[in-house]
Amino acid sequence: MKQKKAAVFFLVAATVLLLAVGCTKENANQTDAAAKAAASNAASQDTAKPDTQTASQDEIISTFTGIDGDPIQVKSGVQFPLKDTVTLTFWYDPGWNFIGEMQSLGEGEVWKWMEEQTNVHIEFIHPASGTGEQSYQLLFASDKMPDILYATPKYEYTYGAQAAVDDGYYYDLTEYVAKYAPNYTKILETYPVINSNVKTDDGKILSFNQMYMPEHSKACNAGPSIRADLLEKIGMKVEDLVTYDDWHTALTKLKDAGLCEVPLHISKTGSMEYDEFLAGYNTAQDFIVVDGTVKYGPIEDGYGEYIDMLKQWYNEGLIDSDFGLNARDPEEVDVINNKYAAWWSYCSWNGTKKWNASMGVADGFNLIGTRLPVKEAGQIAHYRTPDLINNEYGFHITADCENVEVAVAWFDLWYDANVSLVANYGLGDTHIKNADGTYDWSEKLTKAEDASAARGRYVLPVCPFENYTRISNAWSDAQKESQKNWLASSDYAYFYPNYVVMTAEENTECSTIMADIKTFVEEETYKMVAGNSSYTFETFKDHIIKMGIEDAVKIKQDAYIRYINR
Amino acid sequence: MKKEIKKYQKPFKERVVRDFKMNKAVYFMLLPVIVYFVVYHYVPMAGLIAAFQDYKIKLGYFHSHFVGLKHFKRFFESIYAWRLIKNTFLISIKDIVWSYPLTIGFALLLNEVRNKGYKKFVQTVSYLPHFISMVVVCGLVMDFCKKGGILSIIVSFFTGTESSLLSEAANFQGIFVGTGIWQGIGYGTIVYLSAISGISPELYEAAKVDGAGRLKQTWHITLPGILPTVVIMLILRVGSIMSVSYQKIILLYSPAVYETADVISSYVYRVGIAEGAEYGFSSAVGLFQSVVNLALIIIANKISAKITETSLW
Repeated sequence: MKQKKAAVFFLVAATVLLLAVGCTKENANQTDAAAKAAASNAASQDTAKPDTQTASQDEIISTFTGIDGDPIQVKSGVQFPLKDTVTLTFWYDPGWNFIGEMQSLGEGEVWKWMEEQTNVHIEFIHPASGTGEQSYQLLFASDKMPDILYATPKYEYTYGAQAAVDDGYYYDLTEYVAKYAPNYTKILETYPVINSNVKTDDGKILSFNQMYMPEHSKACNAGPSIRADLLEKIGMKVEDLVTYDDWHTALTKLKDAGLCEVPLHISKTGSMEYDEFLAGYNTAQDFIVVDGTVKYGPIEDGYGEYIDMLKQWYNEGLIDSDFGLNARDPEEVDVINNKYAAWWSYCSWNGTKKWNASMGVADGFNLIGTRLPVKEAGQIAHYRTPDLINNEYGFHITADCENVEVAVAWFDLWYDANVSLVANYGLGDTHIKNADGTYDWSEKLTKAEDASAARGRYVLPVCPFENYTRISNAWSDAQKESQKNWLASSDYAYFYPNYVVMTAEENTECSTIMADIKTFVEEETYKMVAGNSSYTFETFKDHIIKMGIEDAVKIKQDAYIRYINR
Repeated sequence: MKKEIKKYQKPFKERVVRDFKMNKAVYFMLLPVIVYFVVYHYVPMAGLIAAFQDYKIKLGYFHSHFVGLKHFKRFFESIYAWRLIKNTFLISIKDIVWSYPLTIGFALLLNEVRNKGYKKFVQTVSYLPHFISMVVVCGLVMDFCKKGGILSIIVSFFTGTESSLLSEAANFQGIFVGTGIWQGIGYGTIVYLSAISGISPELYEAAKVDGAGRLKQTWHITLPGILPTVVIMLILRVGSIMSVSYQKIILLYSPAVYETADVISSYVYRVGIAEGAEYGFSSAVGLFQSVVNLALIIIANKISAKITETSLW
């Protein structure tokens, strides 16, 4: 008894003590963070710092060694090379296998070249493979963030980039870009489309956007694809596939001829990654924009027709009887065993390139992109991967960066025409110069055994200012034909632009409504196709409306209007 | 009697000081334990406040916007709330109903094996699945259950039609519980085997003298001997009814089987992924689960104390 009471006393004492300590520490951190955030906001209004030259009056020209070894004149925000080395930390998830045998991307030739030119040392921080998303979120809980972050849509701050600025994580770059980023500013001035895409509704710049050279932008590089070698055996060609009826004929013949077990692979959503197979019915599984009006795809009449068609195909065994378990891509083992004849594919996997190299599929294996199926010949499908001049994401500079002027000026260099040439095509024998003065990758990159690792070593795998022809020129004929087919009968007029920004409140409200609706659409789409749903399309539609879809559509519409008015 | 003792007691403070002087080392040894519990179990409880806030890391508990019961409302207003709670309970209860008797039965059988080598062999083999990563186990289950998979083929002998087992809502909970038993049965026997080894051999000898056979010995000595362990384990298990292994659910389910497979934790995961790290919402649902678990464990303990006279406290 005695001991028990004593123990209780100790426990209480210890609790109180520890709580007190914990609280004070937390409080201290709090004030710290708040002060820092305030400081960073103040800094963005601050005029020049005494020790850094500004570019507002006189243009500063730095001289670098260019792609051919000649000196090039580069406009810059501060004078490079710097007198004293500045080190910047750079959080970057390489995603693919760009790193290869290197320790970090910083060992790549172009990064080394950049360091020589500028005297800015970049220290890369790469998250372990597969942990990118998690480690990006953890950065917000850490004491000191890296200076520069590469944020893809998956990785952005939960409440959006604007909220990250307001909460004191990122710099608002608007003022800095105007002052220290002459090249970036020039691009925005030259191309009004990019200008409105990269700025927020209030005209702020929150990141250096990853963009493509407008003359060499990225066109659709994924879509439905079919094995041309199997088609040939039933006497058809890829060009014959225009309407859904054509597809039905071809898939039935393929199945009847025993050339494949299940002719068409669709993912568990009952569609394809960018709803290319659904686009012919003038709808999609997401929000769409029809002539400026935002709509929710699954309650459009076309969706009902699509489900009816799939239902028939399901009963005829043209799609998997358990497609609810399918991922976006078919499993490799099924591809080798000729289970499928058609599926959704990236351009990089078309032709025999990927499948042959990695697995040794059957001789003559020839996967070619097809036109997006439509209801009647001559119709245009309005939904697919959009052509991109710029991505909606990019590189942030965090509030913990001590040399923000240098960081901005340094990053801006990548947007100079001559520097981006080096970034795109590398130095020395990694490129060839064509007669018309353009460049292409040499065999060192195109014929490399590990193409990704070669890209990581000799050029920038992801360029801030990318010339997409460097990739598309290296494509095989099959890949080029695939892209031609995807573009032939489609545009992305209905695609809800990624550049639209919702406010934090809109975001929360919309995702609250959509959480259940998405589950409902996913589940009932599968069940309606498989024929065991208690809903018909009409009641399905009514139910979604009852779940409050109109509120979500309104939010999306408002945000869209703000984007249009930028 | 009590009064008499009290008369002789010194004031509390003096007693503590005296006790401390006498048992310094013991108190010293206690300290890390207290610190551990306070730091890792009590201080974090203050974080539950996040369930009532739009919690943001940078703003912390003191500056995050207070939203009251918003997150709870959001969860319970979801049209799926009832289905999620139902599935969570059903899966847990099915798991208890099936895996409990089977594990105990398996432990009793193991206990009866007289050949030491054979016993060790069976134990090793049956423990092994426990150490396989959940991802691998679910990969195996997916492969076995898809069209042409070994389980599907076996089932098709009885039903006549071969289909993918995991794409039918009616099968999901069975597969979930069944594979859980396969993975956990061996490892689950450890605690019962150790309880059995604590039973005095004299009891068995006495029973033998009275003419009891193997079955009677098991029924009248082994089972009552391990009953307290069984009850305690059961109470503890009841206390985690609301926490179904969401990793396994997420690895196995698909829209086709949401009907029976979607549980609270998988829903929170899905909704959370769709919109990033929603600490407030997750905390709210977590708090709800814990409260239900706590209530259940108290009830189970009460019932057990009444019926079997075994209880946790």
